[in-house]
Amino acid sequence: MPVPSSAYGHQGAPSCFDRVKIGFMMGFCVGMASGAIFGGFSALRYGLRGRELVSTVGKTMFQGGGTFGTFMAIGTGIRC
Amino acid sequence: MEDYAREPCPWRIMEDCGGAFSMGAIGGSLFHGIKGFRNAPSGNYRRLISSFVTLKERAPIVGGNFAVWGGLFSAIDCTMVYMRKKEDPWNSITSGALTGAILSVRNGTGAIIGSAIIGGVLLALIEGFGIMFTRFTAEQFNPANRMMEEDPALSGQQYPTVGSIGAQDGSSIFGSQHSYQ
Repeated sequence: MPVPSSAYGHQGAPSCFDRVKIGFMMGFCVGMASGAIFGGFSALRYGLRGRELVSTVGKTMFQGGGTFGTFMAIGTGIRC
Repeated sequence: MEDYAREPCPWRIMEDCGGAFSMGAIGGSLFHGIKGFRNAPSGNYRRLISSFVTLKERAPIVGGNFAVWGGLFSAIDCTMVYMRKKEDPWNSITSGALTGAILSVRNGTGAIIGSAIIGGVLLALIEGFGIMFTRFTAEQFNPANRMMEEDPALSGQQYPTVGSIGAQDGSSIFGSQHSYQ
Protein backbone atom coordinates (compact mmCIF):
# COMPACT_ATOMS: atom_id res chain seq x y z
CA MET A 1 0.00 0.00 0.00
CA PRO A 2 1.51 3.31 -1.04
CA VAL A 3 -0.28 5.37 1.60
CA PRO A 4 2.21 6.50 4.25
CA SER A 5 1.61 5.36 7.78
CA SER A 6 1.24 8.95 8.93
CA ALA A 7 -2.16 9.01 7.23
CA TYR A 8 -3.48 6.51 9.76
CA GLY A 9 -0.84 7.27 12.32
CA HIS A 10 -3.08 9.02 14.83
CA GLN A 11 -3.88 6.70 17.76
CA GLY A 12 -2.71 3.72 15.70
CA ALA A 13 -6.23 2.40 15.06
CA PRO A 14 -7.31 2.24 11.41
CA SER A 15 -10.52 4.04 10.49
CA CYS A 16 -13.63 2.40 9.14
CA PHE A 17 -12.81 3.14 5.53
CA ASP A 18 -9.33 1.69 5.94
CA ARG A 19 -10.79 -1.52 7.27
CA VAL A 20 -13.24 -1.77 4.41
CA LYS A 21 -10.36 -1.18 2.01
CA ILE A 22 -8.29 -3.90 3.63
CA GLY A 23 -11.29 -6.21 3.57
CA PHE A 24 -11.79 -5.55 -0.12
CA MET A 25 -8.14 -6.16 -0.89
CA MET A 26 -8.13 -9.39 1.04
CA GLY A 27 -11.31 -10.57 -0.65
CA PHE A 28 -9.87 -9.60 -4.01
CA CYS A 29 -6.73 -11.65 -3.38
CA VAL A 30 -8.73 -14.66 -2.20
CA GLY A 31 -11.07 -14.36 -5.16
CA MET A 32 -8.19 -14.11 -7.62
CA ALA A 33 -6.52 -17.18 -6.15
CA SER A 34 -9.68 -19.26 -6.01
CA GLY A 35 -10.68 -18.10 -9.48
CA ALA A 36 -7.29 -19.21 -10.76
CA ILE A 37 -7.62 -22.65 -9.15
CA PHE A 38 -11.26 -23.47 -9.82
CA GLY A 39 -11.58 -21.56 -13.08
CA GLY A 40 -8.38 -23.15 -14.34
CA PHE A 41 -9.55 -26.66 -13.56
CA SER A 42 -12.99 -26.17 -15.06
CA ALA A 43 -11.55 -24.57 -18.20
CA LEU A 44 -9.09 -27.43 -18.59
CA ARG A 45 -11.91 -29.91 -18.15
CA TYR A 46 -13.93 -28.03 -20.74
CA GLY A 47 -11.09 -28.64 -23.17
CA LEU A 48 -9.63 -25.18 -23.58
CA ARG A 49 -5.91 -24.91 -24.32
CA GLY A 50 -3.44 -22.17 -25.09
CA ARG A 51 -4.70 -18.65 -25.70
CA GLU A 52 -8.33 -19.37 -24.96
CA LEU A 53 -7.40 -21.01 -21.70
CA VAL A 54 -5.42 -18.00 -20.54
CA SER A 55 -8.14 -15.50 -21.42
CA THR A 56 -10.90 -17.59 -19.84
CA VAL A 57 -8.95 -18.12 -16.64
CA GLY A 58 -8.10 -14.43 -16.49
CA LYS A 59 -11.75 -13.46 -16.81
CA THR A 60 -12.76 -15.95 -14.14
CA MET A 61 -10.06 -14.63 -11.83
CA PHE A 62 -11.24 -11.04 -12.13
CA GLN A 63 -14.88 -12.02 -11.72
CA GLY A 64 -14.12 -14.04 -8.61
CA GLY A 65 -11.94 -11.28 -7.23
CA GLY A 66 -14.63 -8.67 -7.74
CA THR A 67 -17.36 -10.78 -6.17
CA PHE A 68 -15.29 -11.88 -3.21
CA GLY A 69 -13.91 -8.40 -2.69
CA THR A 70 -17.35 -6.82 -2.66
CA PHE A 71 -18.73 -9.30 -0.20
CA MET A 72 -15.70 -9.10 2.05
CA ALA A 73 -15.86 -5.30 2.01
CA ILE A 74 -19.54 -5.46 3.02
CA GLY A 75 -18.67 -8.00 5.70
CA THR A 76 -16.06 -5.71 7.21
CA GLY A 77 -18.28 -2.67 6.73
CA ILE A 78 -21.26 -3.97 8.70
CA ARG A 79 -19.22 -4.62 11.82
CA CYS A 80 -17.20 -1.47 12.31
CA MET B 1 -8.98 -5.63 12.95
CA GLU B 2 -6.77 -6.11 15.94
CA ASP B 3 -9.26 -4.76 18.48
CA TYR B 4 -12.05 -6.93 17.11
CA ALA B 5 -13.34 -9.11 19.91
CA ARG B 6 -15.12 -12.36 19.14
CA GLU B 7 -18.13 -13.48 21.06
CA PRO B 8 -17.70 -16.53 23.32
CA CYS B 9 -18.52 -19.71 21.60
CA PRO B 10 -22.21 -20.62 21.86
CA TRP B 11 -23.29 -17.07 21.08
CA ARG B 12 -20.89 -16.82 18.20
CA ILE B 13 -23.17 -19.04 16.11
CA MET B 14 -26.02 -16.56 16.42
CA GLU B 15 -23.77 -13.63 15.68
CA ASP B 16 -22.25 -15.27 12.64
CA CYS B 17 -25.62 -16.32 11.34
CA GLY B 18 -26.99 -12.80 11.59
CA GLY B 19 -23.87 -11.18 10.21
CA ALA B 20 -23.82 -13.58 7.30
CA PHE B 21 -27.48 -12.91 6.59
CA SER B 22 -27.04 -9.16 6.50
CA MET B 23 -23.89 -9.43 4.41
CA GLY B 24 -25.66 -11.70 1.94
CA ALA B 25 -28.74 -9.49 1.85
CA ILE B 26 -26.74 -6.32 1.17
CA GLY B 27 -24.44 -7.92 -1.39
CA GLY B 28 -27.33 -9.79 -2.98
CA SER B 29 -29.36 -6.62 -3.35
CA LEU B 30 -26.35 -4.94 -4.98
CA PHE B 31 -25.74 -7.73 -7.49
CA HIS B 32 -29.36 -8.57 -8.19
CA GLY B 33 -30.28 -4.91 -8.50
CA ILE B 34 -27.71 -4.56 -11.25
CA LYS B 35 -28.84 -7.80 -12.82
CA GLY B 36 -32.48 -6.73 -12.83
CA PHE B 37 -31.54 -3.35 -14.27
CA ARG B 38 -29.72 -4.96 -17.17
CA ASN B 39 -32.29 -7.66 -17.80
CA ALA B 40 -35.34 -5.49 -18.39
CA PRO B 41 -37.50 -4.09 -21.17
CA SER B 42 -36.40 -0.71 -22.50
CA GLY B 43 -37.38 2.49 -20.75
CA ASN B 44 -35.87 3.98 -17.62
CA TYR B 45 -38.96 3.55 -15.48
CA ARG B 46 -39.29 -0.11 -16.46
CA ARG B 47 -35.62 -0.68 -15.75
CA LEU B 48 -36.03 0.73 -12.25
CA ILE B 49 -39.14 -1.37 -11.61
CA SER B 50 -37.44 -4.52 -12.86
CA SER B 51 -34.38 -3.81 -10.77
CA PHE B 52 -36.49 -3.37 -7.67
CA VAL B 53 -38.57 -6.48 -8.30
CA THR B 54 -35.52 -8.68 -8.91
CA LEU B 55 -33.87 -7.28 -5.80
CA LYS B 56 -36.96 -7.90 -3.70
CA GLU B 57 -37.30 -11.46 -4.90
CA ARG B 58 -33.68 -12.55 -4.89
CA ALA B 59 -31.77 -10.70 -2.19
CA PRO B 60 -33.45 -12.49 0.76
CA ILE B 61 -32.63 -15.82 -0.89
CA VAL B 62 -28.97 -14.93 -1.10
CA GLY B 63 -29.07 -13.76 2.50
CA GLY B 64 -30.68 -17.02 3.57
CA ASN B 65 -28.05 -19.07 1.77
CA PHE B 66 -25.33 -17.06 3.42
CA ALA B 67 -26.97 -17.45 6.81
CA VAL B 68 -27.24 -21.22 6.43
CA TRP B 69 -23.59 -21.45 5.47
CA GLY B 70 -22.40 -19.12 8.21
CA GLY B 71 -24.49 -20.72 10.93
CA LEU B 72 -23.52 -24.28 10.09
CA PHE B 73 -19.89 -23.29 9.69
CA SER B 74 -19.85 -21.54 13.03
CA ALA B 75 -21.60 -24.42 14.76
CA ILE B 76 -19.01 -26.90 13.48
CA ASP B 77 -16.24 -24.48 14.38
CA CYS B 78 -17.50 -24.22 17.95
CA THR B 79 -17.86 -27.99 18.19
CA MET B 80 -14.28 -28.39 17.08
CA VAL B 81 -13.10 -25.78 19.58
CA TYR B 82 -14.77 -27.76 22.35
CA MET B 83 -13.44 -31.08 21.10
CA ARG B 84 -9.86 -30.08 20.38
CA LYS B 85 -9.56 -27.49 23.17
CA LYS B 86 -7.74 -25.06 20.90
CA GLU B 87 -8.41 -22.57 18.13
CA ASP B 88 -6.25 -22.61 15.03
CA PRO B 89 -6.67 -22.30 11.27
CA TRP B 90 -7.20 -26.05 10.92
CA ASN B 91 -10.46 -25.70 12.80
CA SER B 92 -11.96 -23.40 10.24
CA ILE B 93 -10.52 -25.27 7.27
CA THR B 94 -12.02 -28.52 8.53
CA SER B 95 -15.32 -26.91 9.33
CA GLY B 96 -15.45 -25.30 5.90
CA ALA B 97 -14.95 -28.67 4.27
CA LEU B 98 -17.49 -30.31 6.56
CA THR B 99 -20.03 -27.56 5.92
CA GLY B 100 -19.67 -27.97 2.18
CA ALA B 101 -20.07 -31.70 2.57
CA ILE B 102 -23.13 -31.49 4.82
CA LEU B 103 -24.93 -28.94 2.67
CA SER B 104 -24.64 -31.10 -0.44
CA VAL B 105 -25.34 -34.38 1.28
CA ARG B 106 -28.51 -34.95 -0.73
CA ASN B 107 -26.72 -34.73 -4.06
CA GLY B 108 -24.67 -37.91 -3.88
CA THR B 109 -21.11 -38.91 -3.12
CA GLY B 110 -19.45 -37.04 -5.95
CA ALA B 111 -21.11 -33.76 -5.04
CA ILE B 112 -20.22 -34.26 -1.39
CA ILE B 113 -16.54 -34.75 -2.17
CA GLY B 114 -16.50 -31.83 -4.62
CA SER B 115 -18.17 -29.43 -2.22
CA ALA B 116 -15.92 -30.51 0.62
CA ILE B 117 -12.83 -29.88 -1.49
CA ILE B 118 -14.12 -26.48 -2.60
CA GLY B 119 -14.97 -25.46 0.96
CA GLY B 120 -11.66 -26.63 2.34
CA VAL B 121 -9.60 -24.94 -0.37
CA LEU B 122 -11.51 -21.67 -0.03
CA LEU B 123 -11.17 -21.59 3.72
CA ALA B 124 -7.48 -22.45 3.48
CA LEU B 125 -6.99 -19.57 1.03
CA ILE B 126 -8.86 -17.19 3.29
CA GLU B 127 -6.91 -18.29 6.34
CA GLY B 128 -3.63 -17.89 4.52
CA PHE B 129 -4.45 -14.45 3.18
CA GLY B 130 -5.84 -13.41 6.56
CA ILE B 131 -2.61 -14.30 8.32
CA MET B 132 -0.60 -12.60 5.60
CA PHE B 133 -2.68 -9.43 5.70
CA THR B 134 -2.63 -9.20 9.46
CA ARG B 135 1.11 -9.45 9.46
CA PHE B 136 1.27 -6.79 6.76
CA THR B 137 -1.14 -4.35 8.41
CA ALA B 138 0.35 -4.87 11.85
CA GLU B 139 3.68 -3.93 10.37
CA GLN B 140 2.19 -0.83 8.78
CA PHE B 141 -0.07 0.47 11.49
CA ASN B 142 1.96 -0.12 14.59
CA PRO B 143 5.57 -1.25 14.78
CA ALA B 144 5.13 -2.32 18.40
CA ASN B 145 2.39 -4.74 17.39
CA ARG B 146 4.70 -6.40 14.96
CA MET B 147 7.22 -7.17 17.66
CA MET B 148 4.52 -8.56 19.88
CA GLU B 149 3.27 -10.77 17.12
CA GLU B 150 6.70 -12.21 16.47
CA ASP B 151 6.83 -13.41 20.03
CA PRO B 152 6.27 -17.17 19.76
CA ALA B 153 4.17 -17.30 22.91
CA LEU B 154 1.78 -14.68 21.58
CA SER B 155 1.64 -15.76 17.98
CA GLY B 156 -0.42 -18.78 18.90
CA GLN B 157 -3.06 -16.49 20.32
CA GLN B 158 -2.98 -14.03 17.48
CA TYR B 159 -3.80 -16.43 14.72
CA PRO B 160 -7.17 -17.75 15.91
CA THR B 161 -8.84 -14.37 16.03
CA VAL B 162 -7.57 -13.53 12.59
CA GLY B 163 -8.53 -16.92 11.30
CA SER B 164 -11.99 -16.74 12.67
CA ILE B 165 -12.65 -13.32 11.16
CA GLY B 166 -11.56 -14.43 7.76
CA ALA B 167 -13.21 -17.75 8.11
CA GLN B 168 -16.48 -16.29 9.14
CA ASP B 169 -16.52 -13.85 6.27
CA GLY B 170 -15.34 -16.52 3.95
CA SER B 171 -18.00 -18.91 4.96
CA SER B 172 -20.56 -16.49 3.76
CA ILE B 173 -18.65 -15.76 0.64
CA PHE B 174 -18.72 -19.36 -0.26
CA GLY B 175 -22.43 -19.19 0.37
CA SER B 176 -22.70 -16.98 -2.66
CA GLN B 177 -21.11 -19.62 -4.81
CA HIS B 178 -23.42 -22.16 -3.36
CA SER B 179 -26.40 -20.09 -4.36
CA TYR B 180 -25.18 -19.80 -7.92
CA GLN B 181 -24.83 -23.52 -8.36
